[in-house]
Order: sequence, then C-alpha cells, then structure tokens
Amino acid sequence: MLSFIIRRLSYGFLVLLGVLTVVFFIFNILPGDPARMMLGQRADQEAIDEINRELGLDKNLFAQYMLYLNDLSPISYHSKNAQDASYYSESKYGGYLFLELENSGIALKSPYLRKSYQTKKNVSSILFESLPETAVLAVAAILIASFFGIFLGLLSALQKDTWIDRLLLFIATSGMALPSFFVGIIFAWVFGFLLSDYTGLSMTGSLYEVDDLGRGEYINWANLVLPALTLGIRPLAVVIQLSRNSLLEVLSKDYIRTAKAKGLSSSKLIFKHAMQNALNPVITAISGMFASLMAGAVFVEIIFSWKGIGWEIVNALEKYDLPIVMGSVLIIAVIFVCINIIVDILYGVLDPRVRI
Amino acid sequence: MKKLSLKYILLFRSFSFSNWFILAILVIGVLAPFLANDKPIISIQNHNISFPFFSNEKYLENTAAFEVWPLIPYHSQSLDFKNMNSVGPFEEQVVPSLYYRHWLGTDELGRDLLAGLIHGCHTAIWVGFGAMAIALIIGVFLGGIAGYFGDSTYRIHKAKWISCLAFLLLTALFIPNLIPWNWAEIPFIEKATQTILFTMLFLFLSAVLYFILNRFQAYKKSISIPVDLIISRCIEIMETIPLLFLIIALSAIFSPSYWSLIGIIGISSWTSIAKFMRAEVLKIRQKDYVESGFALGLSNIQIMKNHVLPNALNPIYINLSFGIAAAILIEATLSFLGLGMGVEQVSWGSILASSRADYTSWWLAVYPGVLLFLTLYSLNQIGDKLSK
Repeated sequence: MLSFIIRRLSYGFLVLLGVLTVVFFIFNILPGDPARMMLGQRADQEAIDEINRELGLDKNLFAQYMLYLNDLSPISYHSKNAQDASYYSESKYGGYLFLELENSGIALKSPYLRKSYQTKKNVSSILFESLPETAVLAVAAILIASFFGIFLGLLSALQKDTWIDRLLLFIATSGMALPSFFVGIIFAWVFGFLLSDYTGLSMTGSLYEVDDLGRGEYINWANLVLPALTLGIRPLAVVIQLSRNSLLEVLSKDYIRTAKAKGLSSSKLIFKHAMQNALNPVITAISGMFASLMAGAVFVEIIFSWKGIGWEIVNALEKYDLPIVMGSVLIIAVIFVCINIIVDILYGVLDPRVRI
Repeated sequence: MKKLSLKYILLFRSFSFSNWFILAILVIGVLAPFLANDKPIISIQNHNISFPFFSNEKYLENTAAFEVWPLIPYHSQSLDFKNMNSVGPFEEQVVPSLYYRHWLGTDELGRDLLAGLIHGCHTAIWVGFGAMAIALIIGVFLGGIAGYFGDSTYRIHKAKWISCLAFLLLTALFIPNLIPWNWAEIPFIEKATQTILFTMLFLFLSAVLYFILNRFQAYKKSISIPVDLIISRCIEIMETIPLLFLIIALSAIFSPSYWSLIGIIGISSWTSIAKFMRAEVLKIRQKDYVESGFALGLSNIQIMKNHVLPNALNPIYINLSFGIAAAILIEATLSFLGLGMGVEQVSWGSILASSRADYTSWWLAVYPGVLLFLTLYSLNQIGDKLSK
C-alpha cells in the first residue's frame, strides 16, 4: 500500500513537471514585450533593460526556464548579488534562507508564482482570491448535479421503459449536447432579465459584492443560483445516465432476486441493497468531474461576470499578463493531479478487488 | 457494436432524425457559398455569360442582365445599411421585395442572420472534420504504437538507445539555449539556419558516440524501451493541462485563421483517440492471429498494417462522432470568446457572442444556439447508436 502511494505520488510529480515544462515553453514563445507592457510605450530603454534584468528576460530561454523552476521549487538556490534575477529578498519570496554560502544561499519558501505584469500584485494572492469563488461555483454545481442526478436516475431506473424513463433519458442526452455558454445566455436572459421581477436575480454578479452604502464587501448567495445551475447541467446529465445504468445493472443481480424472494420491502431493497452498490461508480465519476468543472467554468464565469479563476485567465490573456495565466493553469493542474491521486488511493482502499 | 460499413451509410438504412439532420448540415455546409451570397451565380447580358460568383471583383448591380441568384441574396459579411441595429425576424424591414427579406433578422451591423448561420455550418463542419482528421492521425499512430509494443517488446541495442537519448537531450538542452531573449527580432532565415545547423551537429555527435560505444561488447546487449509508459505519461500530461486553457493559449500565439484553428484543436484533442486505440490494440495483440503472424515470420510493420490496424479502427470510427461534436463545440466556444478565426469568418459561436451585447435581440442567441445544440445532439445520438 505504501509503495503504491509513493509510486502514485512520484508519477503525479512527474506529470506536474511535464505540465510545467509545456506551459512554460508555450507561453514564452509568445511574441510580446512584457517590459513595454508594464511601463507603457514611452518608457526609455534603460528602464526597460532594468525590468528585463529583474525578471530574467535578458537571458536565453533555457536559463529562463531554470529560473522559473527555481522560483517554484520550495527549496531554491539564490544569489546574493542584487543584480541577479535570482537575488533573494524577503519581500519578494517570503520564507527564509536556511543555508548561507559565501555569495549564494539556499532558501526554504512557498512556491513563488511571480507578480502580475499589470497590477504588480503577487499571482498567488490573486489566485487566493479567485480560487475560492470558482471552488464555490464548482461545489454548488456538483451538489445540484449529484442530488438531482441520483434522484432522477433512480426514478428513471425504477420506471424503466415508461414515458418517465424516456423523458428523463431525452433530458439527459440533450443535457450532454447543450453548450454551457448558450445555456448561460438563455438563463441570464430569461431568469435575470425577463423574469427578474419575480425571481429577484440579476444577470451578472459575483459571490463577493461591494455594498453600495460603503459597508465593504458582503456575500451575495443569490448570485450563485444561475451560474451553478448552468454549470451543473452537463454533470447532471452524466449523473442521471450513469446512476440509471448502474442501478439497472445491480437490480438484475442474483442477490437482489434473493432479497426479493425473501420478501424484503421494496424500499429496503432499493435503498439498502441496490443503491449502496450502484452508487460506487457514480461517486467516482463525480469526484473526477470536480476538477474538470473548475477548469470548465470559464464561460459561465464570463457570462455571469463571476470573478473566478476562468474570468481571471481570460482577462489576463487579453492584457498579455502571462504570470497570472501560467499560475492559474498550474494551480488547476495541481488540483487535477491531487484529485486523481486521492481518487486512485481511495479506490484502492475502499475496493479490495482493485489491484494496487 | 455495429460494423460501420459504407453500405450502412449509403443505403440510409435505419436513418433517424439525427442522421438526416447531420446530412443536411453537411450539404448546407459544403454548398454554403452557393446558398447564401451577395453575387449572382450566372449573369447573362448581351450574349455574354459571366460568373460573378467565382470572381473576386465586386459585383455591380445590373438590372438589364439576366441573373441566377443564390437562395439567399446576402453573404455572411454583406452589410445591409437599411436594416442595421438588429432588426428582428418578425419586425418590419426595409426591403425591396420579399426575396430580399431577412428571414431570421439581422445583427447590429445589418448582416443577415440566416446567411451567417449557413456560412457557420461551413465553418463548423470544416473545423469539426479537419480537426478530427488530425487528431485521428496522431492518436491512432501514438496509441497504436503504445499498445502494440507495450513496455517490454521493443528492444534495441544499448549503444543505439544511449546515442539516441544523447541526441534528444542535446537538442532539448541546447535549442532553447540558442534562443536569445530578443528572438522575435532575429530574421527567420537566421533562426532556421541556426537551428538546422546545430541539429545536424548534434546528429553527427551522437552518430560518433554510437560508433564508439558499438566497439564495446557491453553495449551490444539489447534492452527494452518502455514505449507504453512514455506515451501513457505524455497522454496524462496532455490531459492534466485543461484542454480549454491550452487551446486558448495556443490560439493567442498563432494568428487567428482557419487552418491554425483546425491544427490547434487537432493537436490538443488526440488523447482520447490514443487511449481508445491503445486499449483496442492491447486486446488485439493477445489474439491468436497476431501470434500466428509472428510464427510465420512477418515483420512488425506487416502485422501492424495488415492485421492489427484494420481490426482496431472500427471502435475508433464510432468515437469519431463524439470527437467531431467536441471539436465543433470547442470551435464555437473559441469564437464565442473572440479567439476563433477573426472577423472575416463567421461562426455560430461568434454570432452567439454578438448577442451578449444586446439582450433584446433574442434571435441572435436562440437560432445559432439551437442549431449548435441540434448538431451536437445528433452527433452524440449517432455515436450512441453506433456503439450499441
């Protein structure tokens, strides 16, 4: 078991390294001049050179890659020369130098995702603000999808081949084909615009809103409804189909027939014997969907101006703010890898038949 | 699983709504320039037959001539200044006759929506099929190799392996090293010559290394290369980077055009095909006929080409239907974000995006959205039906 976990973790680490490499080279082949973006068109050459030196942009691509890896690694090498790009300063990196050599040092720090070109804020602090918003959205969508999905899947399996079953299957298959931006526009238009007097919802809005009276930020839960519904449609369709098929498969098993012959009440039969076994693949699928939802929320966030990670990425791409884009892609990749590892390990623990 | 044969497609056997719908989209997409255009197809005046449709010159209205016009007398880019600012399908329109009516309304600049949707079909099927063709080639190749060779069948001499690895490492380390920070300012010829010269040098160096190593007995031993492991890790890396972000980043690098979009979607969505192919080839490799092929002394390439590939492709074709749906969806989403093919090419996604500016013009959201939905639904249904 321990060797399995270690192997899985090291694979995850390798995958992350690969992702890091791909992301770095994709974004650093982009034509563009960050220094000019930061200082404006009328900056003098000296100031631009200064910025390039500070960011390490005057070095070749491979050296830049090494610098980036050094910035991300928790244990990193730093020079003591203030002219170098890897110069250690407390305000920049945080952490502390635990090994000091003559003109260099080795520091222990949290991964440094660099600063935004535009706002000069730390990328990690920007992500720290936007990640929870996306997470709330994804969790709400997953809750909607799993709650209604399992219920409707159960209904559909119990009413097999009736009109309810066919209707639900039709809804599920069309839910798979509905593009989220189309649904988002329609939902925003119908519920946030046409019927907004009755629903009390607005077309756009984020989780944290600034109070008009100047009492600071407050949480507006009503804004969550439409984005979460929009984002939840595709997972809902998947969960309905999956739980229906899984339940039908379990219901045809021998032990269900035995339980029926024993004279068990149908509610006990379904909830105690069938559901528990049928839900295993559904729960695995739901946990797998969570990570892809975090990445897939881009359109929903843009349509509803939800200030999450996808909104941040698209905004940053428009302004050519590469550190934010790279940081967000990396964060989502880390979440993806972590969830995959956890699911694999849990699968190994829960189901003894799985060979690990 | 149904055997996907040409007969099944050509005889329209058991055609349902979704099959007919996709067929209609295909026909409309291919014939789009003939169906909606602002130039007549044939124009006859004073016994001179001309085809203004095929010339790039601007067509001057000529009432004296005999003309054959397309079904809809608007191109997706032609502006109707009399019907600007989003005129609805049921509103009063300033048109000379019923033939010139905008049946589905116009957008903010007075472009006909129906013409836009028809030209959008063209975009959607080109991008969908083109991207899937690229993904199919990459996926079948990599997945097939991973499944066929596995982790322990592909054996080469240690000397060859080491020199290959040395070449790859040298290139991977030094080519980025060559790229200076002002890379964009250097002329292309210089970049190309530098890269090619250094690659040749590394090739030469690794060849020298091979001949030196080959003299030692210890390096003549053959070792197995974990092909499957390497390709599986690559697939995992590709899957971990959110597909959408990858495509958004790539489309920000390349200038927006038709072909670059097809290429981008193609090279980012081969992973699922590769996974299917790998699983299928792994299954086929256990079969007796592959074993007997080995016994007959057939080469790897012969077995792969004649025995494994034809048997492995059927499930891949079925999954293509889902793949095309996904590619069309990605194209629409990119255009929706304004990262698609630029303003010249119309797409369902870009029409949907234009509806966001003005919520009162519902027709700009509903028609392209419903069309997109029906296309994706039909493609998914076809895929479902074939896989049963």
